[in-house]
Amino acid sequence: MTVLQTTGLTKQYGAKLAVDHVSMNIEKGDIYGFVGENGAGKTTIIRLITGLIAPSEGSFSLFGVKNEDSGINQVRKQLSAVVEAPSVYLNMTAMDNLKTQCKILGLNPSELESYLKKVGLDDVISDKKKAKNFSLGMRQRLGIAMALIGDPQFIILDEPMNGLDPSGIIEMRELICRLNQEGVTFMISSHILDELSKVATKYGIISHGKLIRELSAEELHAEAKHSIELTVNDANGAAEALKKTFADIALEVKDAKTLSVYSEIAVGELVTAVTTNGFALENVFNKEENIEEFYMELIGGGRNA
Amino acid sequence: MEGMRNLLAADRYRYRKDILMKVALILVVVFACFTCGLYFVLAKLTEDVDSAAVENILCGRYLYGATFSIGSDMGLIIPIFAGAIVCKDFSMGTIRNKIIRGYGREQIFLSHFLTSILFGGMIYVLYALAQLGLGSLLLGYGAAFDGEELLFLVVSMLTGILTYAAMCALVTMIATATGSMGLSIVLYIAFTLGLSIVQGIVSIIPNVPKIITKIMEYLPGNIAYTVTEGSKEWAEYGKSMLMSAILILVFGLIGMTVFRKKDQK
Repeated sequence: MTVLQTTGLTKQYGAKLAVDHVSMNIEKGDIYGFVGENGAGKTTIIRLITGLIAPSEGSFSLFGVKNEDSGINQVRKQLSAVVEAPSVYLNMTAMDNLKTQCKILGLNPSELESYLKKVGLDDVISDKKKAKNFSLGMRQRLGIAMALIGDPQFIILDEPMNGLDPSGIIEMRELICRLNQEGVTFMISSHILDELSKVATKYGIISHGKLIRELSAEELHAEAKHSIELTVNDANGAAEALKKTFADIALEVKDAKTLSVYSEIAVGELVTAVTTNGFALENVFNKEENIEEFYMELIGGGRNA
Repeated sequence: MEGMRNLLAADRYRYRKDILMKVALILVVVFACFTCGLYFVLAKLTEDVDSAAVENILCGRYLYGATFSIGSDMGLIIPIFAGAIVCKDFSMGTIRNKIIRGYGREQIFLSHFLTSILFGGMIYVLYALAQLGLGSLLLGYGAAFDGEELLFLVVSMLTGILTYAAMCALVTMIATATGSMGLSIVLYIAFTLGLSIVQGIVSIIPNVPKIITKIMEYLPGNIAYTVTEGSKEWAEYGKSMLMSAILILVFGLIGMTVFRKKDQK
């Protein structure tokens, strides 16, 4: 089942094209990692999908209902989002915020403590401290707790790791995975690509308002460059020696002591070639390109989009 | 309808929890005590003065009538507080949550509009009752209290509620259009001041079309003089109420039209 489908979604502000004909798909059960540089258009797309702004061109459908259809607001009740700063009533306590959210959704405010426990805010359950006195991380957690009320089937999180400490990031990751196992679909935009790669099952990579690639985690793994990284006493000298030994070798000198070999050559052969040419080998290991490197190469144009 | 009920319940809860609500209630008591106390001192100082004009002013009914002035103390504070509470929904970003969770902009605007009007009307009633009660207690009511006088209080208070509701409607329209607390307060004060200036100019210009003078005459707040006099010309109150109702409708329609098309940050 398709949870979100955008077709040529475009948003123009004056002469600036903030979102340029973006067509993307999110299926039920996906954890969609939304990746892009600052100002790439990630938040604008999230705002378009959540109804905060209207598209200049193109359309989208949520749970099969198009944005122009009268039923779109009804279907939005299955959607929840934390866009940029969390939507929190700063003059209220955490519990009062959750009560307000229940009133907005027409729900009976029961077992609200469980939502605070889920996001690691156990210690403010009976606290009279107002949200304005919370740290950024605590507000972020409270915003997510509010987003969870009403059991939404699709949750959009814009930079959810912002302001969270390392343990908070781990808890957030575990919460996302747990909810995903219960059937909740996620769309997560984040700058912390390494962290995103630990949960995402699908990626959408955006640059300058355009969706450059959309691929699954498996496809990313298959496409990621595999290399053997060698640490030697003289990387440039060793690189020359390897080029003489292996005619079509693809390699890259990273720094004075490190070089990466991309050609499919047995580790043993490489080690022999380096040491027999008189270089001291300090370290050797297999390396797979991570999401950050993949992304950098993609937006840098090094990879065929 | 159910969605509207939910939003209204949430907005009412939000108002209840807002510090400005508590401040408004405190100010009602402070202003009533201060004004009535001041008039009580004046009454003591003018005990020897034998003047019907002074007697007409130093009484509970006059102090009650003074609450109709929308250009001073609570008359200015109530709409400004209402606008500030509306704006907080924008500045805290909580309005986004309502849109994301599937509420139409019309519903969100209407909920703000109705809650703001309710807030204005309620604080006004408390203020008017405090001035009337405390003023009458200290200075006497100022007239024989019979059935007609009771009717005067009921009719004038309804007029007062609509007057304050119209002002809260105006400030809510501005607040939802700008989303900025500072700008809303400045525009509201500028609008009310501007209107007084226009009224002043119209009153001295000869041969102004009758329709304009009539509109000016029945603008909210202008009924204050009729009330302080204890006038029982019911048609005057009716016209004032009608004008307030028209203004509430106009501000509501303009506000909704602007808010419907507005992108939210």
